[in-house]
Amino acid sequence: MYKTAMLTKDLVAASSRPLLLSILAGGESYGYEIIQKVRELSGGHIEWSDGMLYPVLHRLERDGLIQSEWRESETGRERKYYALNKDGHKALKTERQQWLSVHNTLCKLWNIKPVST
Amino acid sequence: MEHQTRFDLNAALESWRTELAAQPNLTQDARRELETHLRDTIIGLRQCGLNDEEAFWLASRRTGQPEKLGEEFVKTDSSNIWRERVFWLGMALLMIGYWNSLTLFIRVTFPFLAGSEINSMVFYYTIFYGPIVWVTYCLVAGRAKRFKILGDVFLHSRGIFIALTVSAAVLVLGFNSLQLYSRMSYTSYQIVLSQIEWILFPRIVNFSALIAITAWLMPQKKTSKAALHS
Repeated sequence: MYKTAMLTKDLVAASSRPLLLSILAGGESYGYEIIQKVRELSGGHIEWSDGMLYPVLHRLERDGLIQSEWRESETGRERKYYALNKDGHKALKTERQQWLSVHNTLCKLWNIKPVST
Repeated sequence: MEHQTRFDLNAALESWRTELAAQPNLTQDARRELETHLRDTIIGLRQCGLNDEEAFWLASRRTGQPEKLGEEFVKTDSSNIWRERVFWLGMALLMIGYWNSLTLFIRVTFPFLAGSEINSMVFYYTIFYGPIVWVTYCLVAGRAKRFKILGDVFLHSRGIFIALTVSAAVLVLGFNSLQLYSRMSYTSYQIVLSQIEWILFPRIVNFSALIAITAWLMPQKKTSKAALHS
């Protein structure tokens, strides 16, 4: 039986930006929740390490695509919440086009139905 | 007979936190965020049925070794680390500036505390450098907890930081102005004016510049660890 392998380190690193922007486009979130979400959506094939996630989030923030705020959660504990801003939405649009372009090229090569951009 | 010691989660977290704090490439904000993450992971693992020891062990493995975390952070974002370093440098200069103004005021206003002119110099250097050496020793020896309350108040928000630093500057500059004013009775007006020009004015500029730079560079809102530990 064919089994989907874990993503390579390079691919995980390259896809972290569009994935983070896409998750945050769905609403604000925090590190632990983001990692859980990625694990769940990928069916466990994308395993992010914490050491990788936070520096990327910080870089996105430095680039002005997301903003963060320390806030008290429902449990009473403080968490750093990240949210996408206007520039982040623009960046996500560009990322989406680029990734779909790669995806469609591969689909054509592999004779799979492409996705509309 | 096998002897089993009870696992202390708080002690384990404290030890992990100390190890993380030793990483020069991790900002205070990043360390706090990683600790929050570790605690979230521990809670998640406990809900899966793991005991405290197992949950801590697995959560700390998942979060990563402090050294590796430091390397990852500096690889992707070294600017934040430098931002924090420059902030603390600015803070140190600001505090030394306040202390310098205050000790000069004490030395000139209360000359009888020292006696002769030589004693006055010794007195000044003792009260100026004594606390600086003590604070430096506390920070280097890992006894910085005693300054925590002060740090929590100062760094609570940018507004509070500016209000406190400006108030402190106004206070010490006020002392220095009083000092100059008191000299007017026995010094010529010209000398007082030149002292305003060469002493007071540069201090106003220095304090303003340092307050502006540190306020701009200051880390995000700092909250008490009690909230974090709950």
